[in-house]
Amino acid sequence: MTFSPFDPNRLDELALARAFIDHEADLLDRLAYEEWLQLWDASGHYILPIDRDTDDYADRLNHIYDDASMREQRVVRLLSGHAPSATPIMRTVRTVGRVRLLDSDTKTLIVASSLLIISFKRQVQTLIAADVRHRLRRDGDGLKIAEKHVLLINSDEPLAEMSFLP
Amino acid sequence: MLDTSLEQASVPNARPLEDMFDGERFHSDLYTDPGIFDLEIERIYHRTWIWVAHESEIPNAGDFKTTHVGRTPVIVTRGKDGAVHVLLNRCRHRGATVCDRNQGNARAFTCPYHAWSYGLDGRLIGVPFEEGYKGILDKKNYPLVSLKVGLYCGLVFASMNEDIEPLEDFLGDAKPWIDLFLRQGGGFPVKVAGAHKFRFTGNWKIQLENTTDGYHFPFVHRTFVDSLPQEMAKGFTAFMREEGPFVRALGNGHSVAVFFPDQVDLSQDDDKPIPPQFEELAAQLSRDYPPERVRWIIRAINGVGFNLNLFPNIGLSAAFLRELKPLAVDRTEIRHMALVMDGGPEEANRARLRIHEKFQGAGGFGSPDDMAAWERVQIGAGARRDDVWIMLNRGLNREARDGEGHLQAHVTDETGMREGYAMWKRMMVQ
Repeated sequence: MTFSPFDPNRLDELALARAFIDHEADLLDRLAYEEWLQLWDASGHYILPIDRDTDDYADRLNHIYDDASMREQRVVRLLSGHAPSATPIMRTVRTVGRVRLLDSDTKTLIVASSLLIISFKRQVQTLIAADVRHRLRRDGDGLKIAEKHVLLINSDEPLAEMSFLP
Repeated sequence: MLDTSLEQASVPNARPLEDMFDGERFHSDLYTDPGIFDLEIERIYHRTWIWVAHESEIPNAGDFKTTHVGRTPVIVTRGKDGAVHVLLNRCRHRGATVCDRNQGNARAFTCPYHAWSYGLDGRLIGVPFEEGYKGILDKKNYPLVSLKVGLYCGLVFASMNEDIEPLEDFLGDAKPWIDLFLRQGGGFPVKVAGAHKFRFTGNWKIQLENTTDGYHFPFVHRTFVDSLPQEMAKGFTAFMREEGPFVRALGNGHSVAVFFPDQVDLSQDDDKPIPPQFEELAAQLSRDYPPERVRWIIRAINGVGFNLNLFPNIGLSAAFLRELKPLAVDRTEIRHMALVMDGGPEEANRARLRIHEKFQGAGGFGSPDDMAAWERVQIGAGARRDDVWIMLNRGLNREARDGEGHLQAHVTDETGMREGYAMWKRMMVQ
């Protein structure tokens, strides 16, 4: 993760990014996956890496490396009712925090945040923690996700199944 | 040393181990009894060959990885001379692990407690303030304990049993299948390129069985099949009904499940057209490779058409290696290693990684559903009804011997699992 200095002149952009990421988190917790797909730039990648020391995800094995087609397939699978692991889909409540604007220009905002997800299924409640980075493309008055990168705190250690969108 | 009291009346309905599997069914205590689990560690994991690494995980001198034999922590190293060592990860002084990284490169391993240091071959190199040991400690007698090491085609096995039979004898009739598996390299050696690791709440043998369980595929993996291009999806359901696909017992607990008989030897051209989803990749590869090599690489991109299950802890499945680690009677860790062509074309290796990611791992379209099914087996098998057993008889009505005397039946049958449990019984009952 890159650091960026605190910049009081860019609080508007920070507020915009923060509201967008909270909106996304809300859609995911409410399983509004179809609406979530609409937040994306078609060329964007949704990545959950395993390795912690790289930016070259395409040539590494990841937990998730989804282009638009894979994102759609993933949503169809999770909502289908035919996947034993996703019937029902885990309940989640997530908190986005520590939102920082890493960079911005007229086209793009790069935003880092922390993500805590409490998930629940079959009497088991678990805590998932991750560092998240969004590359957000300005789209009229709104934003589109051009890349989302979720680095789980235990990305390179054994996980339990994740039958929901982190 | 062993606690064999479980064979006495300490447990309700306790029955001798030899009565737990009768060739057609087994008692669900095999999934749930902690006493049986402890015996499995002693009698299976500490007595036979256990897979610990693929050589490509430690290619250079000084490379190491840490893993377990049973529940015992070990370090797999490559020494300065290129030899592979498997060492107990336990300082000879006070027992601390001398390495706690998953993998890396090192010149030596230094215990964090009192800084005793050991070479890549386990030799004790340094003891700080050695005067306290003058005349009472000869360093050459206190290396990290070495396990017996066996290598076959890049697969590294270790054994705690000094009297174990040679690895090649143990692998036996599974060896030709290992050779066939490696032909998915398209003429390149295969290399481990990362792994998905996950843990599920269930007994290790549930995963062992699953590697030759063709029967579950269209049900558990329906959403995966539904996501595939139509032609491929058809293939994944056709093997349920077709005559050709088979499962074969290979002896010593090993078995092979052949889902796609025309994809057993990938070096043989099947004269089929390149599937539409790989046409672009084939065009890219054609710039650097002749047509027959491009066809081989593409043909091999989903791996071989079979799963080879080596008792007790490693599977060579389609395009990946599956390692299982028993953690507790109801807790198991799985590692699915993606395989790519070592020195092969990057764009094809990238495609192999994407194919692996799609099915495997905690975020895949396949593994989470397997985990869900296995966890439900563990919960259901915990029902305390002594008269309800786990069935293992599918295909007994159509099982026959092949030309070499191996039992064989349809790929959806439980012949491979029966082979695994027969070996289980041989090793467990003394």
